[in-house]
Amino acid sequence: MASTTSGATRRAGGIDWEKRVDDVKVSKTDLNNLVMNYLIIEGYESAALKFAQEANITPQYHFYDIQDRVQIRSAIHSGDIDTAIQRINDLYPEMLDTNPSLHFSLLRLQLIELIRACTSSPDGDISEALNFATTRLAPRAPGNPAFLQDLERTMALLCFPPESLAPPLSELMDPALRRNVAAKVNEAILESAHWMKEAKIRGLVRLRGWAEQRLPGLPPMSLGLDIDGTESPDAMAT
Amino acid sequence: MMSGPSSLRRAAMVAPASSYASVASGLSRLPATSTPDLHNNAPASNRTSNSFAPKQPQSMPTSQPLPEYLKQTAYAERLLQHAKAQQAKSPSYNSLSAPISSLTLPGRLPPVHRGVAFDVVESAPVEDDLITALPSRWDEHDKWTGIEVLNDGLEVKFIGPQKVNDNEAVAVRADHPMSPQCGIYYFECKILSKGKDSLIGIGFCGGKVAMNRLPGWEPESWGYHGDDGNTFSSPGSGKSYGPQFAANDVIGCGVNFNNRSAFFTKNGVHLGTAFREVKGGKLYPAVGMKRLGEHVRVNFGQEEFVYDIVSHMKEAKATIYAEINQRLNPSSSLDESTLIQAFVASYLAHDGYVDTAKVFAEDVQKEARALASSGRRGSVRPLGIKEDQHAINRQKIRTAILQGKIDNALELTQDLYPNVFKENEMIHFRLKCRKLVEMIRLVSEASSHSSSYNHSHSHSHLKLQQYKHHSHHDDHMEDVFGRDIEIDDHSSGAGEWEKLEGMDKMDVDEEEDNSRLRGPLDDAVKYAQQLRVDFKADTRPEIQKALEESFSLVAYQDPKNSVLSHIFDEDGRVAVAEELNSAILVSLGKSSIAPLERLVQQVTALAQELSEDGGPAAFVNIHSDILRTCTF
Repeated sequence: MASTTSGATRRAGGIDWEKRVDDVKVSKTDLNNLVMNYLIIEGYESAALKFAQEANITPQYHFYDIQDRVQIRSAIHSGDIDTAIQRINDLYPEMLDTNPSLHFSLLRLQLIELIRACTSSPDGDISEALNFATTRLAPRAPGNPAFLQDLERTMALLCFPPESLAPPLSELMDPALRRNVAAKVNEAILESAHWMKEAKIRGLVRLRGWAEQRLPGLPPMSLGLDIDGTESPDAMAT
Repeated sequence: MMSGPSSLRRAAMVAPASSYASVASGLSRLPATSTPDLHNNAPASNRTSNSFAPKQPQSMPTSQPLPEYLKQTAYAERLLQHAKAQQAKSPSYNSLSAPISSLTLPGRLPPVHRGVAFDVVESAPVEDDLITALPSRWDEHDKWTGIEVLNDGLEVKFIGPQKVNDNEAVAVRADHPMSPQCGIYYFECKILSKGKDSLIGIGFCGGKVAMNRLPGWEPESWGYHGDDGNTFSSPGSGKSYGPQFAANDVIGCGVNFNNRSAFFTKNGVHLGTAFREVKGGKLYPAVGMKRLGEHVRVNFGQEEFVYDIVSHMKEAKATIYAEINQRLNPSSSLDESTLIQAFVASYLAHDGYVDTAKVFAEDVQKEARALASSGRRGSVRPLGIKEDQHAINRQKIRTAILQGKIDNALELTQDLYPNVFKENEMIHFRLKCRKLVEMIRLVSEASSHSSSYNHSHSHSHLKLQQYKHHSHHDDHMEDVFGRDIEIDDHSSGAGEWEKLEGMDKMDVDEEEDNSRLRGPLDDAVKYAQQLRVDFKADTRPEIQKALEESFSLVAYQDPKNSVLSHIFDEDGRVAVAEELNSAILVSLGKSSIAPLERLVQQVTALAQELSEDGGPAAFVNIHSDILRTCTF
């Protein structure tokens, strides 16, 4: 692999790296397809319909399940895990039974939401959260070390005041967790419908992060992406 | 990919060329499946489409096998691009007679040419000096005496002397080194016959290794030997490896340039890793032998392999993708979802999809509000999206072009951004050409509409004859085309027309029919003439080529079903709309490239960089893995 690195710096270190990037021809049709694929997979129904109109493209996809997916996702995003689980069981009765880790993720998120509710007020009652943990989560944990660890870590939330949490505990209270669980549910539904489980654009973003890491000698590359008014140079280091 | 109709139309292109093919000669690039026209000036009437056997121009490189297992790779795409660029460069290049390429690629790839003249963005062949060709045969100039290369370079045979010193043999190298950009290179050898006390070695070596030794007996040489089943990777380094091999066995040899290892197969069975740390520069497939009667045939991918290398390749690819998809450190910075929302939102705004951008922003904000109910901002950041009048203007202009209302777009641009055409006359010109295409489309649509209830052959044929005569005898028309138009009344063109006619026969007033067509047709011809006058002095080849291509449409009786039908593809509208949009953005001092486009460019360049010298991205193909599989 030594030759790879030296080769990369040899070619890429010079000024022509920028030119090589500029010279890549990108088809607009490909970009439009990439966006359309994202809107449908991630459940942005009205945007997808508008985009089909404005970009003059015809989706082959039947929108029948998109609203179900959106409802479930919204419920998870707003922390209403009970509703989400009910919806999933109504629409896809076998999904949670056949996917124990997804089921556990949802239940654990529900526990986190219960803990959030009781720790956010000074005289919150933790008995509901404790009860939920012992009856719903604890029976599932012993068979799987990862579940057990997740459960233990979640219970630790009860010991610390929410405003002074440090990683990895703070990650549990982060809204990104709701989003991740919602994404997993979305993937599972799409997979059960034999669709690709995630939008292709995600692969593209990850490829960039991966390749950059593999090629440390490259000059920094800007994307011209304006988030919160400032360019985030490390935005891609996910 | 987009929906069916356009691909159907493309399929129609390969129908027998119409009688006006001579008009199109040199103007359009046809798939190799249509009859090549080797002589531009041959009178059309002397030809029928079947009696004229296609002849490969001598300057074309010999057909190179592209092994099945490499077909989905970025390497294969680059090879094709390179071949196209070479072809375009060669002075004897005739776009109609030369096949697109001697390579064959799977149907998954996009059509090579879309919307021809206007589509510089999507199909321009690029020079790629970093790409190297694949081994295709044994090299008769790179061998030891005593070994003979037969059968188009695919077979080698021991021819003597009967006695060879113990530490000597005869060997041959392939014509090209194995390309590390493939990720894995694989070939197979079939032992056709073997001699007494046979000693055959199969493997690979550097370009300077002596050819009087078996593969594996020298430094920078690796081989698997049939007499003892051992592998060798330097003098006297035999290592027990696999079974012996003899006549009728098929021995495969694969080099993984990503982890620098090599393996062999016997009759389709993987024998395990033979070498690690395979180092060196260019490595060539090699075979060596020692006894009379030894005879070996190689498969460089021109036929199916015995070993399932396709699955092997898929596994290697899956391993790399597992690594890519591993979410490293998800909490370290801006999360992936927000990042992607930002890419999509900026793309929609940048490219003028105003309404979509608005709706998307609402959805995203709704989502952000839901997440905010957790009472924490956390790592999820809301996305601010602003409205912008220029985006709305750009959207109007784009919509006009996408709907084929080119006049509308020309006016809007002139009014709102008067500098854009001054500074980008090429775009102005392309729009005008597109306007001509749209005018001809109208004529063509009107004519096929009328033919749906005017079913009389003779009448409609007559109508076309009149138009043909008009074009043939009219000096202006000849001026428009700038060349003599050969007209042939009795070959396939009329046949196609008949097909469209349907079966019923019914008389309608021919005059009325003619007059309905004549107006728009005259307008189109007049507009074409005006364009010709305006740009006569401009000798730039791209201008002249685009002009000729557009004009040639006028000559077709039914252009939408002609070999030039692809010009009507709506992709052509998209291309010119995007170009204009970018030009307006630049005139406003903004980047002409949206972050999403930038992302694709960067990832493409990164992946290419990371596939040189056998880097792991050799197993990644942005096109076939991501862009062309975006179903929706």
